[in-house]
Amino acid sequence: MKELDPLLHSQLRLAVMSILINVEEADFVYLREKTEATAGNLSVQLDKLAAAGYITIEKGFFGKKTRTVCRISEQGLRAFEKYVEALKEYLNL
Amino acid sequence: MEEKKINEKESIELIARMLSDTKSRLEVGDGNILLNWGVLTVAVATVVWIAVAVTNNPAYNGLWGLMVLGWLLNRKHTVAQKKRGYKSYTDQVCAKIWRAVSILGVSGALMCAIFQYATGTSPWFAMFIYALMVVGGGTFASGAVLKVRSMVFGGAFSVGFGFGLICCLLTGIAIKPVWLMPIFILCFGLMMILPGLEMRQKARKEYERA
Repeated sequence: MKELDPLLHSQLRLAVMSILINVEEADFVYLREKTEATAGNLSVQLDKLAAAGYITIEKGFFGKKTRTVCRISEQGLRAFEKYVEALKEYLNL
Repeated sequence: MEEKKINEKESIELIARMLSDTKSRLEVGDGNILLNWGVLTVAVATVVWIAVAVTNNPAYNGLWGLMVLGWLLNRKHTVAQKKRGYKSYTDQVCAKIWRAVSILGVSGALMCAIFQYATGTSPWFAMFIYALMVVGGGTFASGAVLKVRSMVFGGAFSVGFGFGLICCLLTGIAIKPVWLMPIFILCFGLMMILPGLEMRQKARKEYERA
């Protein structure tokens, strides 16, 4: 059986990746709203995903406020696909 | 949601839930950009039409310059989209289609200005047909991406009309200038105002259902 990617096999990181796979880009506020996570925790998990090359993070400004925009990368997309394939094997789907 | 390990079944459920929660839906205000551009174009065309007809002075065609107000509408739309917090793939595709339409439109206007300067003859009738076909093509493509039938129909109608005008010119069929502006207004009404209203209504219904 294929091994499940430990980076994705965690509730919050998997939720973030599932959201990003469905949109072109999403900002930090939107991700926090959808995952109902705390800002600190979400920030740490986003950094972990970015460090693995699964997502890209772009910091900019919207008016006077800072805006953090996240996008899934090619590597992240491939990792997510592999993870879903592995899940299907585990669950005999 | 926290940073915790989950089992395989919970993983699949979580992926399905997140995909469903972020499924691209029409949002209230999604048809506004189309509606705003449609109303602006129809309003400017009507003002130009009346001003030229009443005064018989072609200089009033310069009022087409009011179309630059459209950039303010675009700015408003961009701010609204950023406030929404995400950009879907269809948003991205439509933005690229309209960027191409804008570039083609501005290039056409520049060509007309250059020809007028070089020859002293007004080539702006070409811009009239060109606008119907280029904007019609953009509306048709966006309608196909967004699955809005009235946009597809309005775009096809406008492209067809533009092409019909070219055929008339080439085959020597006389086109009465008095009909051109009402046709232009009708095409933009069908291309932008009707689909804009339809999208707004659809979005409201989806919002009420949710």
